[in-house]
Formats: sequence, C-alpha cells, structure tokens
Amino acid sequence: MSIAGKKRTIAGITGLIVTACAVLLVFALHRLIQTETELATGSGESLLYALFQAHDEEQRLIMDAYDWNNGARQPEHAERLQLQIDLAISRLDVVSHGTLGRALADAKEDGVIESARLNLMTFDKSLQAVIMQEGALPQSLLDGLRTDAGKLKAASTRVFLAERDNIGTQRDRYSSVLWEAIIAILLILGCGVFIVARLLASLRTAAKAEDALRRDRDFSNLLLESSGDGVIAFDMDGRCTHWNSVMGEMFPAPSDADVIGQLIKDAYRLPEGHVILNMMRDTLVGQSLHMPAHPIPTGNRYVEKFTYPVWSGRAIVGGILFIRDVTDTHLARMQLVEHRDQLEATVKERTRDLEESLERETRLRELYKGFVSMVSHQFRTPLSIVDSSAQRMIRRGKDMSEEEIRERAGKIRMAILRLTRLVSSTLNATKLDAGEIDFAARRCDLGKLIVEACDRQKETTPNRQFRIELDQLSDWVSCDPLLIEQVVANLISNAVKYSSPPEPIDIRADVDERWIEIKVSDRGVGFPEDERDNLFDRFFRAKTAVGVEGTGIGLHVARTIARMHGGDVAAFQREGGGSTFVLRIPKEETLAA
Amino acid sequence: MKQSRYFHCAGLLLRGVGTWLSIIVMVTAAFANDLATPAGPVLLTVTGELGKSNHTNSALFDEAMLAALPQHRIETSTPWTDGKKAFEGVLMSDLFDFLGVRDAQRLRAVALNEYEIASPFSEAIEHGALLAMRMDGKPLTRRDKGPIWVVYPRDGNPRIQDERHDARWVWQLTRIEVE
Repeated sequence: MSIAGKKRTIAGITGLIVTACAVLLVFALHRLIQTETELATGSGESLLYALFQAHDEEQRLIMDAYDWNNGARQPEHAERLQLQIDLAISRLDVVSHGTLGRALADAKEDGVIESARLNLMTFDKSLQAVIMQEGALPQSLLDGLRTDAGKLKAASTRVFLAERDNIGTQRDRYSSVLWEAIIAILLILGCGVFIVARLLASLRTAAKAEDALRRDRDFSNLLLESSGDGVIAFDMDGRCTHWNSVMGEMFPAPSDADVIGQLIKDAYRLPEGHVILNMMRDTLVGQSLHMPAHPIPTGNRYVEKFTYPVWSGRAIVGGILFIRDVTDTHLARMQLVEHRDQLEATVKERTRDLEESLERETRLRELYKGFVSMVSHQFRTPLSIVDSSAQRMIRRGKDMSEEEIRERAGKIRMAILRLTRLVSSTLNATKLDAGEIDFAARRCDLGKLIVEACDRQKETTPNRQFRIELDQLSDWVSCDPLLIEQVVANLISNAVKYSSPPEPIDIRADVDERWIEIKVSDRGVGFPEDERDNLFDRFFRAKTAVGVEGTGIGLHVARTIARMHGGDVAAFQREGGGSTFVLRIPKEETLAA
Repeated sequence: MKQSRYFHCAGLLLRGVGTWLSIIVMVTAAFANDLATPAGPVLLTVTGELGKSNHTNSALFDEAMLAALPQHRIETSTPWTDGKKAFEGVLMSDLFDFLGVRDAQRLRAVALNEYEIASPFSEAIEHGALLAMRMDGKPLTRRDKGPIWVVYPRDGNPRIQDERHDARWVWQLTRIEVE
C-alpha cells in the first residue's frame, strides 16, 4: 500500500473512532438524562405519606369519637371532633386531587378513598346531630370508620409494596443504565486513548515535518544568502517573507526591526505610488518586470531590478524582487559609449574636413576650367585682333598710310583695353572673394546713382533706350555707393549686352517695409531655366550668351556685393521673353537693426 | 385552634395562680396591644419579635383582620390541584411589613395537624409566598386546605418547582413563628 493510501486509511479509522466516541457519548448522555427525568417524576413516597396521614387522621377521629362516647362531651371535645373530622376529610381531599390523585388512580386505589369519604360524610352528618344532642355516636358508624382505617392501611401497604417493587425495578433499570454508561465511558476512554495516541503520533510527525521545513528554510536562506543580488520576497499583501543580507546592505531598512513579516511599504517607509510598490503591484497580477540600470537615490550606485510572480499551481501566492548592483558594468559601458561618441565625433569632423577639402578642390577645378574656358574665348579674340593688326603692319611696312596705321593701332588699343578690362574684372572678383574689398555703408542717393549709371551706359551705347521708374525710392538709402554702383552698372550692361535695339530696358524700384528692390528687365535672349542656379557662379556663361563678350564674373560679383549688404541678386525669366534681374537690399532701418 | 387552646389553658392556669397576677399579665398585654384584638375565631397566630402585637409576643388574626390587609391574587397550577387555580389572600411580605418584622432569619410554619416546616425568611418574601384564603373565588375551608394555604407563584419560577420547596406549601396554616 502506498504511503498516501496508508495515511488515508489511518485518517479514516481515526474519523470512525471519533464518530464512535461521539455516538457513545451521546448515547451515555441520553441514557443518563432519561434516568434523571425518571428520577424527578417519582411520586410513590408522597402518596404513601398522604395515605399514612389520611389513615392517621382517621384513627385520631376514631379515638376522639370513642372519648366522646366514653363521656368526654365538653365543648372543647366537640370542637376537637369537628377539627378532627375536617382534618380527616381534608386528608382524603389531598389524595384525590392533583398528582397524588392521579398516582392513586394509577394504583387503582381511588375506590378506597371514595368509599372512605362517603362514610366520613355520613359520620359527619350524624356527628353534627350527636353534638347538638350531646348523645353517643352509633357504634356501627365507628365500626365503619375502623373498617375504612383498615382499608386505608391495607391500601398503604399495597402502595408501599408496589412502590418497593417500583423502586426495585427502577434501581435495576438505573443499574443497567449505569452499566451501559460505564461501558460507554470505558469505550470512550478506549477511543480517547486511541485519539491521544494518534494525536501524539501526528505531533511527532508535525515536529518532523517542521524540522524538515526548518531545514528547507535554512537551506533556502543559505541559497538566498549565497546570491550576490539583493533578494526580497513578498506575499499577496506585500508583506516581506524572505530577505537576504545583500538586500540589507544595499537598502538598509530605516527601522532596525526585522523586515521579515512586515509590510515592505512600512519597513522601508515607501510613499504611495513609489516605483517599487508599483512594480510589486504589477508583479502580483502576473507580470515579470525588468527595470534597466538606474542610479539609486543614496550614493552613486547603479542597480537593475527584476521582479517575478511566485506561482503555486495556477495561483499567484506572492512575488520576488531581485536587485542587482551593476555599478561597475554600467560605468564601464558608459565609458565605452563615451569613447564611441568621441570617436564618432572625430570621424565626423575628419570627414567634414575632407568633404570641405574635396569641395574646395572641386570648386577650384571648376573655377579653373571656367577660367580657362573664359580665357580661351575672351582673351583669344582681342589677342588675335592684335596679332592680325601687327602682321598687317609688318607686311605692309612703309606702304601703310598714316591713317591706316592709326586705324590699326586704334584696333590694337581697343583690343588691349578689352584685355585690361578682363584682367581687372578678374582681379576685382578675386579680391572680392578673398575679402580684400572694404565695405563701408553710408547714406547715398540710390536714384541718382542709377540714373548716372544709365547715363554712362548711354555714352557707349547711345542707341539704347532706358525706361526708369524710381518713384518709390526714398531720397537716401544706406549702402556702399562704390560697390552698389558696380552692381547696378553690371546689371544694366548685361541688359544692354543680351538684348538688341530698339528694345527698351526697364529699370524700376519697388519698396516695401523691409526691402528695396531694383529690377532691371530686358527683352533679350534670356537664359535657360535649368541654368538659373548657375548664373551666379564664377566664370559661368549661359548657353544663350555664346558670342557675346563676357567673363562670367559680373553676376557673381553682383551677388557677392548684394550679400555683403544683407541682400541678394536673383534672376527671373521675363514674361514675353528676356530676363529680369532683381537687386534686393534691406532698408536702412532693417540694416541698422 | 391549637393556639386558642393554649390561650385557654394559660387562662385557667392564671386563674389558678391568682387574680392579681392575672391583672398584671392583662396590663402587660394591654401595653403591647397596639394591634386590634380579634373579634372572631383566631385563624392565624404570628409569634416572634414583632413591632405590633395584640398578645404576649404574638399577633392573633381573625378573618376580618386578615381581610383588612392588602389582598393579592396569583394564578398558578399546583401539584395538589387539577388545572390552574386563582388564589387570593395576603402576601407574607405585606403581613410582616404590617407587623414590623425586621432582621428575621427563619420562619416556622405550623399547620392544624401539627405539620411544621422551617424555611429561610428571605426566601418566603423573595418567592412571593401568599397566605391564600380563597381559591377560584371560593373561601378555603379546613376540609380543603383552608382556612389559610401558603401558596407560591409556582408556574413562573422554575427555582421553586421542586419537591423540597413544595413542602413549604403548608395548608391549614395556623401559626407562623418568626426567628
């Protein structure tokens, strides 16, 4: 039989014994109570006593009656007779009513009393008459009373004997009940011995189990203590059930008392909504939580927290919280991250430097290419003019007329002038790019400046028409007049260069609260939309500019100057052909601000 | 009746000793006589340390004197009667209050047939002993436990539903001795 089966059998037997014990106890008690009730309801003795009394009073009456008949006929004797007959009647009355009456009826002796009463009543009647006459009582009545007394005595004897039988029977019954009770008590005692033995055995088993439990607990404590992590376990109420010393070192409880058995909330005096309490609450509903490394409020330590619910079968019975000191790991990781960030920053810096160098190189290359292209186009023409003129002069020699010489020399000079201009504008741009041009803003009359620029242009191209509209322009504008004059002259000369007469050139000023815009529009060749962004690159020439003299520097310089003023130059295609270039500079207020 | 007999004998004795002694006794009796002398046959004699008396160390009551005391009524069944009965008479406590009985320990009740029983004084008062003279409206006579039957309100008090206590239900009561 298996151990569990044996245990079940023992438990069954114990239950059976306890039940038997209870049944026996109830049985014994029931029998005793029954007997007690019977004890209380015996009336034989009382009946016997009452019959004795009745008999006695009857006897006394007879004695008094004989005294009377023998001559004692004083009033007190009469009175005594009266009293005695009353007493005799009252005794019969007592045994014929109430419990005694019933007991007598049960003993079937009530007939005796009834006949005695009738005789007494007859005797009473004659007694009253005899007392009045002071005569003698008839002997027959006295004999009747004596017979009644004898009957009463006989009835008493029968009642006594019956009572003795009754008492004997009762005693037998009590005796049997007592024996039953004694046997029941002995059996109960036996059951008690068995139960006590079982109890002792269970106590021993319980002690053993407790020993085993204690050993288990000691082992659990050893396990807990050998953990490098802080461990605290809690039940469904949040009461601490296990706790190790690492936890104590990491988080000493504010109260010195043992934490085990206390509510963690109370032991650590945690306020409502504390992160630990929230974790515990979530754990007790079945969540396993992990809180990554974080600093603890006391000291510069870093910890990680883990919680797991503790299951018993399918029910959660509590939770366990691990706190791991990860300060060293965390610091090492932080250092690593710092190193990596530094490295990344360095790499980024280097890359940026390299990209900048590359860009600079590329720009220089583009510049160089643009420069070479410009030079090859723009410098070759005047140089070839100079060369062809020189060859002609050598070939013709003295045959050349003075006029022809002047004409040739004039051409040479024009070419040289053009070359000089190219060189100087290239140098200017270089200076501008190198930041060697001083910028000195002051108040000047921009309108006048524009009109003079137009006039100067007219000197070289008298056949061009300018439509100037500068009404919105204020009397003075804050700018560097020397630099702005270059921009305006450049935009006007471009308009002239890239359009043909008789198309007019519109110059218009628009002013809003922030900006002053000078718009120069022509009805010329315009520029391709896809080259708009390149127009302001140094040495860039639009496709539409082929065959027109130019260095590709002007717009670049114009934009650089405009930007020095905090403004810009932008290019737009004009509706109906041609292009519009807009110089935008901030109003003085804005500039001053 | 025994008491009246005793009184009668004492009278004869006194007459035998001398008239002057008789006069002294009568005067002494008269001194203690702050209770009316019974006019009819004496039904009850109370002896002991009494505040009021109408005889030597005793108080004699006839029917009229008992009827003049506060009347009380109880209903109870008894072991000696069939069914519930209504008893009327004088509460023992009222009687003793009337007689000015104080600090009594025991009382001995004596019946016409010389039956006597002693009981603690306080219990008789506490359990409401009644000197019943009427049952179901009819006067009790010597032939049916009268003229005075000591009854208790037995039905409402389990403490006195006991054979030993039942012995205190003295019928044909004639004398109470207070000690």
